[in-house]
Amino acid sequence: MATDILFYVLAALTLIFGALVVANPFSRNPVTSAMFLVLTIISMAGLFVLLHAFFLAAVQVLVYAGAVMVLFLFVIMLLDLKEEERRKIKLTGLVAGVVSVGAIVAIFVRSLLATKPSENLPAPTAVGDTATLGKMLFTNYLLPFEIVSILLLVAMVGVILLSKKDLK
Amino acid sequence: MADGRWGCALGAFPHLPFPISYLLYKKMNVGLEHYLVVSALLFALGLLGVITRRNLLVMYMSLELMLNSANLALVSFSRFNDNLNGQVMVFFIITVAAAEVAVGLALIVALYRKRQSAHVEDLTSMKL
Amino acid sequence: MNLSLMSLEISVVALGLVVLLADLWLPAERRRALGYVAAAALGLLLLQNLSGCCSCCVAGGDGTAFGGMFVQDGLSVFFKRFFLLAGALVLVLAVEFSDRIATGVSEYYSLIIFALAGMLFAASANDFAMLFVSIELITITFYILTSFTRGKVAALEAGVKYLILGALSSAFMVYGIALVWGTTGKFNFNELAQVAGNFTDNKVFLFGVVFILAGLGFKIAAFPFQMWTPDVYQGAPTPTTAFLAVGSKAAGFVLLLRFLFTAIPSVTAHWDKLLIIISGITILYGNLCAIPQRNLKRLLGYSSIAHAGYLLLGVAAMTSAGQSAVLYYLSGYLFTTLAAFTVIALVMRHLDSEDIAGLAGLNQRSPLLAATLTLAMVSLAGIPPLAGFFGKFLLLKAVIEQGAVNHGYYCLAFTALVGVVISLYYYFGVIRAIYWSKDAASREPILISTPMRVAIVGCIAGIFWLGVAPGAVLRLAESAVNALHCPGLALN
Repeated sequence: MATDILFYVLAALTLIFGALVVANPFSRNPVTSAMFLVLTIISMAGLFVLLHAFFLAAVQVLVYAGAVMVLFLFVIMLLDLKEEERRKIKLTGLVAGVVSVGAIVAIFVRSLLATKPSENLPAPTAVGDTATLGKMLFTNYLLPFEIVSILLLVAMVGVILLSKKDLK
Repeated sequence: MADGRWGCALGAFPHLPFPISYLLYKKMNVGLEHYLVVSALLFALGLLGVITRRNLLVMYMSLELMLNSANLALVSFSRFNDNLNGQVMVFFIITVAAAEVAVGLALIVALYRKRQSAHVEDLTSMKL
Repeated sequence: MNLSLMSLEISVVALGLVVLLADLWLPAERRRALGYVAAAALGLLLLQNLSGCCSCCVAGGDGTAFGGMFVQDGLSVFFKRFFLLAGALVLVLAVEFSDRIATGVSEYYSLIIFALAGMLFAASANDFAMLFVSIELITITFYILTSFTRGKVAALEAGVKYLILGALSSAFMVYGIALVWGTTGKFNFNELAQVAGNFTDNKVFLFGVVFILAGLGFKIAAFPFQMWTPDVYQGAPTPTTAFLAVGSKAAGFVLLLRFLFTAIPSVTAHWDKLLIIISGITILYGNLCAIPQRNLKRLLGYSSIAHAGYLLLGVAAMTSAGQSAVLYYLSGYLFTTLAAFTVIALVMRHLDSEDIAGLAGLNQRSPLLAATLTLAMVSLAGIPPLAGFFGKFLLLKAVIEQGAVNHGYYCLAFTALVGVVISLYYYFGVIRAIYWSKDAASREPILISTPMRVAIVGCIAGIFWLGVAPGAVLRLAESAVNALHCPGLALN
């Protein structure tokens, strides 16, 4: 039962922080959005722990909150973005966006809830700890793993090329 | 089939508004649907951000939110199907997202140096 | 586990690394020629693949590796040859373009090769993990390639637009994969095919399928996901645009074919109406929007949307005739599009924008280029006896054959014909600018290097060959498509 209460707390936190990333009524500074995204990610890591995905919870905090978001913050500071002047949001765009997203969510959540409710959950036989996932990564998923390494090389080359000062 | 359950949910707690009565009907017993609803809402929030916000960085953060919602869906499916393959997929998604963020931010910085703006509405050099 | 199946991919990745490293030791003035070396290496790999591996075309030479994730069958072999040829031609074009790249010429070559490696993996992907990873390798590499000339604002804007919309489409695709995997518990396409029939009523599963299709639709620039195409085609460096138009689109199609017909055939069978509508709208949208364009690359961007629509005709037909027509049409499209972009890169070398007016007097400046561009336009428009005509003929034939099942197919065929008629207008606008425009800005002849000349003549030969003697490629395409329908030959 305690885990259920934890779920509701963490889920509420995730959604509230997520909403504050997208639309913050008090500040439109990108830094605020970034900080709330960090909080969203950390609460999601909590949800991962509830789901017995311990390794991914750690990776989520380390990679997302630790690396990706620091990158975001660096860039925001580097660009020295001023408090964004309040541009007029096009009302039609906003309405269209809210309506279409709302429609998707409504249909989607309805179809989710119409599926069979899950019974009492047995304890998992497979726990997402480092050893198990590591074994899977280096056996069944070796090929995508290697392709991802090419991808990281490409990203590294690309970032250097795109952001270095002109040599000439 | 669904109607029966909705009816039950409404009948059990007639004085409460519908979403709360539904939750109480489920006796707070957290199941797969709960996680999926959270993930779907998160996805929708991200999509809304991409559609409505005009700052490139905030749009990009909203995109991260969408990717994260997919991760949450995969992890919860993985737990409730008792199958770890989904978690490996999440690992790939996180890695790819990190690479994508690095490249994307480099692009945005390069554009900012040229244009002094991080706004979508200023991307107007190519019009019909 | 059968590593020898992947020798081609391993060689291409190694080539990319070698090109990247060679930059360290080569003096700056010789880096340019590295592109020719890389193109030659790809050509050798293609030749070796054509000669040594002919047994791959029959079922005996097929196989899977990595637990069925990586599949080598007729379809993947066909597309691998396609991608190798495209990559070699694009590299030759990139050498021609390299004087406009300020820094990092060899990186440009190696990134093209890495994108090519992603496409090769995509051709063999038989699993959602492979699909995701290979498609991301292609897309992220193209973000960089698009903005490579970062001194130009247009290139950066194109890159950012591609980035935002590309990331959006991958978010949709990832969520779709999560839903499909969550409901079925299968990543592997063959295993998914066995259970997909039980989920045709499961809304969550269908949502997932739609989301995955959205991600793939972005790659091929089909109708609701085509917004990025004109801007990115216009802003990107010309070799990137050429590779995007040919390679990235074809990679999207091979994944789409595998996903629709290997992974979820039982679901696809119910979705003929959706495919018909998307195909029709894509054709009309691309052709109508192309009419007022003055920028040649932007025009080809819209025309590429229209061609995605034509290619979807073959997918919508849902017969093996339709699918082999898709493969055939893509082969013709490869030669035609690469020829067109090569001419654009050569002619517009000293111009800031690729305005159609820049073609004035091309006939006097270089008859070869004028003839090449004319042939490319005629073939894109679908006039006999060139490749584009025969491809469109096959696609329409496949669609009309299905008309007895569902009358929507007749409407679709009619829409496609209307699209062809509309397209004649703007393609001939280009030809008119070549031969019948008064005020030529410059009259100096255009110098063409020997490798470039070889590539151009090769493209022209390909356009004629596919139009006049379709037999060989058509047989290859037909045998390739068989792999879609009897999958899992080597499974256990």
